[in-house]
Amino acid sequence: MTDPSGWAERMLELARDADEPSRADRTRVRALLVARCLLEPSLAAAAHTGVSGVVGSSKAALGSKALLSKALVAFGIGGAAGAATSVAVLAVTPESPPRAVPAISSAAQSNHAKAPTAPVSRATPALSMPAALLEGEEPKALPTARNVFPPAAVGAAPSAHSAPMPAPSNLSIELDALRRAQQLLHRGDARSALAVLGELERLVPAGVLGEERAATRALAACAALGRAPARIAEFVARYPSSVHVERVRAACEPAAQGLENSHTDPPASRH
Amino acid sequence: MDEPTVNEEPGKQPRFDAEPDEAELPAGFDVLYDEHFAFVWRSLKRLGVPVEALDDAVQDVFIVALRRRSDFRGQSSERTWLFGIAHNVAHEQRRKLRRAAEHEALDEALSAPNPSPLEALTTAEALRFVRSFLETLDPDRRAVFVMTELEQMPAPEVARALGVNLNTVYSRHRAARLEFLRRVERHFRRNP
Repeated sequence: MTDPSGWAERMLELARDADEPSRADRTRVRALLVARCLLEPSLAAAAHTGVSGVVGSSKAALGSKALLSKALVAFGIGGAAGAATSVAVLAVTPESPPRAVPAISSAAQSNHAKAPTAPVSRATPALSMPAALLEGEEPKALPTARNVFPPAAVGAAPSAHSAPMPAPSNLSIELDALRRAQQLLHRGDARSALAVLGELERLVPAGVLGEERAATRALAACAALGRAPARIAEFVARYPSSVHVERVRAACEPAAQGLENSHTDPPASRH
Repeated sequence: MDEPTVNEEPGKQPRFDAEPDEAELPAGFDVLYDEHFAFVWRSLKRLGVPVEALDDAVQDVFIVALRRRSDFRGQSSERTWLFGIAHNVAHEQRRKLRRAAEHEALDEALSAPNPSPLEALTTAEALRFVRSFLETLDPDRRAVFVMTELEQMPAPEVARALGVNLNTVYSRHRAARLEFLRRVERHFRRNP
């Protein structure tokens, strides 16, 4: 028999080179992290103040200014400087009409056209959605997929007039929509955020970022209504161990307690 | 492509090319992720995080790293620091997701009849065996074995990552290595 240590070494050698993640793994987890950062504003602050130190001075060559700008864009807090370098991620600009439902733009545009992009948003009929609709149904008065997305993004055959453009992945569409929804929430436009999420639901009904979508939807519903116990219950039932549960509760419960005594956990249970 | 490729170790090919539609991460965090994603992924997998929980576990490692950035004092490498975090995350995940089925698969793999001859040993076979062996180790020895034998990190770095004495690392490594050799010998005994 061969020396067992020879077998052992060979096995370890082969095992060392295995277990590598695929590109799809890397992209998917990155998207999940981005979505998580979008939902947890404290992470944005942490990123700005600390990690560059962790990464080390050898990375300084990558350009801290450029990285900072990128981060500001990602979090929608870039102001004028951010806007100057922003892409379609910031299609929701201060110049956008207040009642416009911002479009979920093509991620291909977002990432390849590294130049300011005019907002793709379209003015829509005022979103005077009833409370019940915001709580449980999809908003109806929204732009359709056809007028929000370029044909390539929604699977239609490209027209002879359209410039060739690679179709963004569903993941890119999801992230783009989540960014927009978060930006709208930060601006206090929860109804438009809900509209964006509703549109996303139609275009990508079963995406990778389901948990983040549900959390954002719950936050938006709470912000729009001042309370949304159904949303909290729904979210917690579906994602009981989600890292976003506390955030959803924190955002929704205080208002609910003010308006309705029947609801829910005591404040001491929140951290 | 505007994203730098990753080349963690001299002489190794970059693990990733730039993605056409990369999502954006915060400054610095982006670089940390790009450099160490593969390492964190591999480590968690080898530390016993099931595939279905891997996405969450990898996220947790990076989020913890982000939140605890002040703990990093540059006394060890980023990899070492991240491994320490991954070790804790994996411990939590295993506690939550331990399944009896995995132990059945383990016994089966370790006693599989008619193993391939050395020359024909495939990566899949080796991987199955090593993974199964890792499942038999207690978490402390497992972490040491993964770092020393699979990631080939020096013992002092392992000690720093796990926050234990250097002699403890040597002792855990010796015990795990001995057990591995015993398992290998038993596995191939009937294959002269």
